Amino acid sequence: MRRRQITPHRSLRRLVFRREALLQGIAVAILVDAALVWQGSQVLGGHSRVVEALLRLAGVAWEEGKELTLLPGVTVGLLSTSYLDYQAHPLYPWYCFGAATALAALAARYCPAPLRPLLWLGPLSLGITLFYLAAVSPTVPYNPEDFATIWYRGETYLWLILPWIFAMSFYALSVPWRLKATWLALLLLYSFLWSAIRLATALATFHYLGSLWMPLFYFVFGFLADFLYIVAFYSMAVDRAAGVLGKQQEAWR
Amino acid sequence: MSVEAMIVEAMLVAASQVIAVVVLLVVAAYTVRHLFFAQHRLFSSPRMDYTDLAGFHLPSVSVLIPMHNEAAVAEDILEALAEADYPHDPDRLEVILVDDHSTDGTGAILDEYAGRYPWIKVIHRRGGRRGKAAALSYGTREARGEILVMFDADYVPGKSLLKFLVAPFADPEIGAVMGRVVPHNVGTSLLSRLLDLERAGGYQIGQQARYSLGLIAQYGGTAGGVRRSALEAAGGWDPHALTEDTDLTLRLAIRGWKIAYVNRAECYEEVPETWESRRLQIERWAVGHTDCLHRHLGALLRSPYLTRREKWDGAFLLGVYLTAPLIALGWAATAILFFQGSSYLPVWTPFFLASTCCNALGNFASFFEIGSSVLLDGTGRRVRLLPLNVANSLFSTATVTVALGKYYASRVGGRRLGWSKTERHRNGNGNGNGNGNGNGPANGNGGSYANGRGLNHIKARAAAQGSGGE
Repeated sequence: MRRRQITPHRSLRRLVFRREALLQGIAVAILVDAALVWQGSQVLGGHSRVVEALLRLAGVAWEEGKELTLLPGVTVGLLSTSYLDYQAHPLYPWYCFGAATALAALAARYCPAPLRPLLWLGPLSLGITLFYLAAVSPTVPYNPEDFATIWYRGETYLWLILPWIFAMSFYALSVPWRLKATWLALLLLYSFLWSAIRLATALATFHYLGSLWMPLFYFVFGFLADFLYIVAFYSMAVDRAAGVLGKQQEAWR
Repeated sequence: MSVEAMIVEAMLVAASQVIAVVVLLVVAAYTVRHLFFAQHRLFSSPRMDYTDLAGFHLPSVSVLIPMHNEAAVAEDILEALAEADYPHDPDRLEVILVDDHSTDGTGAILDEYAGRYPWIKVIHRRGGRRGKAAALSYGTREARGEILVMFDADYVPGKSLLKFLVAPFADPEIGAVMGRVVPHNVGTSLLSRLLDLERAGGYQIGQQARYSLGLIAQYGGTAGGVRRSALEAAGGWDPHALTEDTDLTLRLAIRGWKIAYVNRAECYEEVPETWESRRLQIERWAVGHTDCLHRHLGALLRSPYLTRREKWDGAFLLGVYLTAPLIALGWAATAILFFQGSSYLPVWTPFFLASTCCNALGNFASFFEIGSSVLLDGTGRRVRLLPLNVANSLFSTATVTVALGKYYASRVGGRRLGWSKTERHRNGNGNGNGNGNGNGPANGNGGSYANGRGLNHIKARAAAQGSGGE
């Protein structure tokens, strides 16, 4: 008992899987990682130059710090900056916390509802740090150089992972090679620049406003911000890919 | 620092490390599951083994629609059922409307439709236990059909839904069938757009992949059907269940009944448009689902009818809401480790990389699921909102954590949590937060719907969204 004609879904039943597309993604991921390891010191050196330029723009003095080895043969010279001493300015943390809370409360009135929890992450992290500074220790366990160490470690691992995330999620699709390469290149470039901007902003903030802001930059402007742009790039890439796939008749089989 | 303080600190750090690793492992397990589902769904032929029977296997069907203060939406679903391409022969199709303690004029609307169509029956409940499961029990007693199909009042079934939905019942092993739910009010708010993405991922990928892989597809309580004999064998509706759908899914699966998913059987749903109604909805789902975990996990793992794979995946399915408090616990542990200085240690870097950005890898898998569903549906543009779902995830994590906190507190205190009805916005008639215990105010506050809503508008929107044309 078979119908002569089955009305198709408007949605695709499946996508065509091409083994070579996946292999292409894996090959690109290996190549990008190899290039990052091979040219890692130069890449990170470039990252440091961008951070230096931004710190100069912000009027923050720095010194050459220790050299950090991230991977075998991959090193980066850290920038040593100072941070505001709360012993000399005991009310500064409270001012910062109060101002951030007031700003978040004000912004929450105009901000779309789903973004409000993100807004409150600021006062929350400042509040927790303030509690730590008041009740546990007068300083956080890291100086700006330590923070840069953590930052470079995390970002380097992330840059190594990114091509694999794209290989698994995007390269396996039957869309033109140029589309995949373009989006991966844009993602890596953005990741590199955005990382330098955030690190410089973090160091400048510690310099002017103190270590209270360190967890905020670590948790919210660190890995969470990384995650947000990865999802954003993925969504834009999928948007393009959906347009291409919709035109492929073979995908309807 | 005193010795006692040092011991306390060491214990706190050790506990945080253990919690952090456990959270990471749990999230990693869910990550693998979601990634596998998405890849399988993208590149494997979906199981559609009963689709060809649609229109040929036409058993007697009783459609049950519990309604509590549904004046704003009642007409739409009844008009849609009148247009359905299932034979409107009273011996083949009956629609039983259970007016469950309504105070907003729902009863009068239903009576009017019953007068117009001989296949519609109305039951006015004014006494007894309230709530959806109780109303369904009542309706089931009156039903004569071999197959029971359930809808919430705010759903609008597609024209061919019934024939696609009942086709799998030609197989005597099938106990329940679930259709695909597609939001029709996308565009009325940012939240409804985000929920549209979430639903697409959940049905197009999650449900279809589970069904294709021979795992337990979930009967979702609405836009789904159950074989009457299977329902009776499983003990009927549990009036105490907050999520009677998950409860029935488990009871059927444990007893060896199969549950089919039909992606082609589309039903249009009004998703919450305000964050407050979304919060109430998540709370109910989280509590009901977790309650099912406590009641059915043991029986699920012992069931002789299920394969090991089905048992494992069933356990993952039941435990899904527990990941929210776990993630919150993971964040707390991560913060403690940060302030203790562990972030500096290279050995912890990969951990922090994975867990501090709200368990990025785990979350990315669910984003990948949504992205994959968009590729299959060919609805590219809306996927640009995907980054905002990070905020939605944070909202859900916080809501579920609080809800489960209340749930476990109530368990300790020996109390039962109540049921809250989802707010309706259609026809310029937000009918308030009827709380399922009756007396939900019909505040008619205009909601967020403009003029021109209603069935035709819903169908036009659904067609424009490209979601499975009829």
